[in-house]
Amino acid sequence: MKNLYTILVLSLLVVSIIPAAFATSIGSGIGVDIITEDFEPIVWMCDNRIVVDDDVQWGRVSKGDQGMMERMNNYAFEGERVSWNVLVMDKNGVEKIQDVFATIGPTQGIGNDIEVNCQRTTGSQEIPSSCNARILEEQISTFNSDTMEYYTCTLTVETAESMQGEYWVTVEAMDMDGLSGTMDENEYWFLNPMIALSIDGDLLFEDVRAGTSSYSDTLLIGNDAEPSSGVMLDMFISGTDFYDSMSSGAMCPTTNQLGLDRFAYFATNGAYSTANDAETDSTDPKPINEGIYDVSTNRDRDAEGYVNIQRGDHFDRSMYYEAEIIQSGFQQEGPGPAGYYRGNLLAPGAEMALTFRLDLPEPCNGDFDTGDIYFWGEAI
Amino acid sequence: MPEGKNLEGGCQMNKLTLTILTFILVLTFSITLASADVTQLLCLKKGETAEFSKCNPSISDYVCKRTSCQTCVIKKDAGHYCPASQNACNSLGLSCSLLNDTGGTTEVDGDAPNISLFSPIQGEVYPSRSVILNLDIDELATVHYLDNINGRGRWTRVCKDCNEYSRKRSFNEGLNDITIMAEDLTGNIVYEDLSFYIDSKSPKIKRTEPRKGFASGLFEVQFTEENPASLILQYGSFFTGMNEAPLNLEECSIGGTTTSCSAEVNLSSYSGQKIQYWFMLEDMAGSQVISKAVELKVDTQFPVINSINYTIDRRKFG
Repeated sequence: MKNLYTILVLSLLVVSIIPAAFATSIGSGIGVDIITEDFEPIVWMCDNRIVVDDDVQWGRVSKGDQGMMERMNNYAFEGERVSWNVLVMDKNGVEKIQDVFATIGPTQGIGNDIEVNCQRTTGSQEIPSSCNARILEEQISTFNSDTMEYYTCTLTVETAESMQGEYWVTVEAMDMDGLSGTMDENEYWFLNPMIALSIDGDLLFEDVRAGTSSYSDTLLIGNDAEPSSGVMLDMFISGTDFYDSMSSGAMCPTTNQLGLDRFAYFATNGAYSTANDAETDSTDPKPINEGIYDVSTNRDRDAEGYVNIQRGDHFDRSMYYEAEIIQSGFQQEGPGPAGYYRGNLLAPGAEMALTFRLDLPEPCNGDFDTGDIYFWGEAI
Repeated sequence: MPEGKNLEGGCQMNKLTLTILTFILVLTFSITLASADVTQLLCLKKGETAEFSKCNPSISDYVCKRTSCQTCVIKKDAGHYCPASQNACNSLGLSCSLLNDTGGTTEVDGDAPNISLFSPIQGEVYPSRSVILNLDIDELATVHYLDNINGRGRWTRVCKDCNEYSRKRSFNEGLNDITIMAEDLTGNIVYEDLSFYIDSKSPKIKRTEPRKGFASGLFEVQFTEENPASLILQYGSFFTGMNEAPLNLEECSIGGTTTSCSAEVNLSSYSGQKIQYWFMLEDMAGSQVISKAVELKVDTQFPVINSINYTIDRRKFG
């Protein structure tokens, strides 16, 4: 009986409490609605871009398939590659990163034509300072594999038929929500610029008396590359002996040939001229140059500042340090064209002036019209 | 039978060889077609245009604004040019190529240049060995000339890659028979023949007759001139007037370098007077020489016996 009372009392207590609980559930509650930010991917360029040669004809400093240290300006030719290492972050998770690619187009930022997909790579756990990874004031120094990935993007310049002119080039990352971000450092490139050499004037020696020296009119050799392309040309000169194409009974002085060694030139380019020519004439074995480019002709500057001409009818790498038009202003190290003569470089629209001297031997007879003096320009 | 088997085997071998060769030929032909793009070092003259816009409309055409220009290009299968890095041409050791008819504004030149020759003039006689050679050509060309008489086959260059020329040139005395040759940049050649005379030596009158005494009407002259054009005897007096008598040069006699001519005129109207005479000689180049004037008395009358005084000292002679 005692137990029965106890149960009844407890039951009453429970019943008395329950209504109070029902009363609480009737009041207004706070709903929880958490929406995660659709994070726009961020792309940071780590270090700077690298231009790699096409391994067809590499320059005097960088070998084929190497980074072109001498390429100072933003221009590239068919086959050359431009590479960026980038760090991509998406706080929604790396799984949300749909695509990372390099684009080129007429405007900077997102939305340009996709040219090449980037390749996922690995990187250090500590983000290199060169990446300059930061979100507003927050500097990010630790790599988080859940939200970050390293990529390498390599844009190879296509033919001029599809890539020619000035383009904004950047790396863009797109997530699965369709949001995109590009690296802040958009680059402006001139792809496949048209290059030309211009020669103003004729090399003409008329009525030259045997045994005398004659001077030509001054010729202008110009870099006629597209304006704003920034293409720097390294200039060279070579030539051949001269012959009389007609049956004229030529002789000069012992046979029907006028030797190239009878010609010399004086060149000026801004503050530089052959008056201060270094007279560098590389000899075998050439550490950089390959092949032999008339090692028998020693570059020589005379008292007038006139320089003799190297013999040759084609361009090859052995012309370096031997057949430059002006060997003056040698640049030992970068930044800039290390290993090049500053006085021998022509920017677009720039010209260098050359005056030729002919020391006609005695006796000499004939019209020596067959033979050439060549001008060569190498885009560096 | 073994021979038959061998023959059959040979046929099979031939078929196999033929199939392989055909395959190689087709493959080679395909590769050739696929790799028709050619890198060229395009050399332009002033005013010529490489139409890069045919490669890509966004590329501006390149117009050579200087004496000459060169640019490295890739000549596409379709014939148009696309720009290429200068280094590509350097690596191939290329020499100059000229514009074709699709990639530039210059069409394939199959026509020889036209020469407009202003001097010397055909058949003209010039008083100096130094004659202006003045010519125009309708395109750039290299011009030579050949002396067909004394040149011994040697061509003399006038100008290279020019379309006009006007400078003095030295030619030989007498007849000049020359051939002018103009060769344009694509190798088309035109020849033009020309003959003219150089008479730089002035005529000289060496002797005239009579030199003194009386004039009967017969006059003689000796001169040296290779190309005489006219010879005129002038004679007369101030009182009666002057006359002239042209001589026929074809009737003159030539002995060595000297030519002798004579003229007979009627001096009856001057009879009894004093006259002067001289010869005027002009050569083909227009150079003139006049002989020294000679004064003579004229006596054209036969002597007349007016009277005879005589005495007879004998009756009989013998």
